Amino acid sequence: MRVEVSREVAKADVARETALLEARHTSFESLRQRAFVERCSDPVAADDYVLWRALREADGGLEDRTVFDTPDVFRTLTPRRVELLEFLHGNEVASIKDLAARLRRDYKNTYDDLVALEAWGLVSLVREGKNQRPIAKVTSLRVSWEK
Amino acid sequence: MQRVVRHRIWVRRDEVLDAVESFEGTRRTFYSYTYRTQRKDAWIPTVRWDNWEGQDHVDRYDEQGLLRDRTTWRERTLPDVLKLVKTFRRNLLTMDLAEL
Repeated sequence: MRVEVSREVAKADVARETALLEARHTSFESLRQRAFVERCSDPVAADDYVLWRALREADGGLEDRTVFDTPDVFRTLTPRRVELLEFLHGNEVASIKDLAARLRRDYKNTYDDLVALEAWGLVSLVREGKNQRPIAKVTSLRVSWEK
Repeated sequence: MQRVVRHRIWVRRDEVLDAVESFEGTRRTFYSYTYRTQRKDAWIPTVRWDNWEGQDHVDRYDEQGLLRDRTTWRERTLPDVLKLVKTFRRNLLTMDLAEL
């Protein structure tokens, strides 16, 4: 059984990816240096180099896919959490408190649900000042069985 | 035009196979498949197959994620590697990977 999750990579995602790469490696040139000279000790460097090179190109592209090859994920995908994912897909929220208020849910339950979804990479919690802003990493969710 | 496809395949809650593939048109120019296990909050690489600098090889890492050994390997596809990971999981650390 496979649960496949897709995420459309929009312009904002590309900017976010680039910012993450800059935070990890300072600059593309220093990453290039690391990837070719010190690559043996860091498996991330080659992947990041290939990704950053594509993002720098005007017509370069990125596709992100997540597949759950285990039914364990269904322990996490409760109806309330799927509803939460759907809301985050269609709406931007400033914080967990904002999300809880807009869903008319208790803050702690909302927080717990987000932490559970984050553990499977379905949302990310981005720290912005004192707040954590939840962002859905899902634009579609498909379940299939392979023969 | 470079197009990168990034996959994260969850094998278990604390085990993933991360794949990065780069294409120029329909030609695949780079691949890496990294089997990672979670320790505390960090995803530690355990085994990695890639063709960096045009050489197909497989790397094995220790518990701290430091390179332990490297052997040559023939090119495989993501479904093949996923099958290996699902079959052998952490036992890959003690197996003769060149023979797989």
